Amino acid sequence: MNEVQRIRPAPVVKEVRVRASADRAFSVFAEDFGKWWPKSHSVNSSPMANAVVEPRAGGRFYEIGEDGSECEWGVVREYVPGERLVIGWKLDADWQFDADFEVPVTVTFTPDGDHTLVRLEHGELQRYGERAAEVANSVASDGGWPGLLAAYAALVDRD
Amino acid sequence: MANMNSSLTALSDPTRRAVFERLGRGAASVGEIAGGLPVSRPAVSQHLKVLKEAGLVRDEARGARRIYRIDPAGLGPLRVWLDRFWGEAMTAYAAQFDEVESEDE
Repeated sequence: MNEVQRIRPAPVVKEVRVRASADRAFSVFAEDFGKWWPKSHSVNSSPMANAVVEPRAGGRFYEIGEDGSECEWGVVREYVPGERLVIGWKLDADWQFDADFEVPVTVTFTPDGDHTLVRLEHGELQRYGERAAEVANSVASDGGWPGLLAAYAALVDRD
Repeated sequence: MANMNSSLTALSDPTRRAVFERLGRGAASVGEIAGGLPVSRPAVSQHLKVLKEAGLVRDEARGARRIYRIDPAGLGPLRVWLDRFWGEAMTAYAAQFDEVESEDE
């Protein structure tokens, strides 16, 4: 039954084309991450002051609140300037950091004339379901998904 | 909201994952799925029902048969949510260049 592990639901993919070299597109993405990342996309209880992608494989990927508190989001798995950034995304379906959970967020930078195609892929979505089952089996749970459900409900209500 | 819960947990059952994986290799009828797995047709039907309710699989009538395939929009609400989340983030990222560009010019 090992082959059932090969399930691959379609990943979430986003592409943007920016007018910059691949090197510059990469450095804005990774080095200036805290400058452009939407402040609303925060997991900290304190408002977001900055977010950091440490420039090396094995580095931290985390958010810094205005009160100085730090919240982990994941781990840098690959850091290849001008080419490729892979984050091990460790926020679960409740939008909580979970050391035992990880899905790859892969960002590639492809030169296209005087532009660069930036492609982001959030993959292995089946892991959310598998991890959910693990958690549901290991703790007494109401079976709910309060964090993400609430966020989703808020989005739906806003529409 | 029940749909959210079911779409995330529908793949937790190994046999259901096997049924889902079979559809990953191509659309199939209940009989075709059951033929390749050590599972009865009624059991396959039951798993397909759960997968369908979870938004992972959809079906269509083809002649007298019903054909099942993976719904490309699978994992329903989670996918919708992540799609919006990254859409907003990448829009903010791209806007950074418009700013830089106009500053440079």
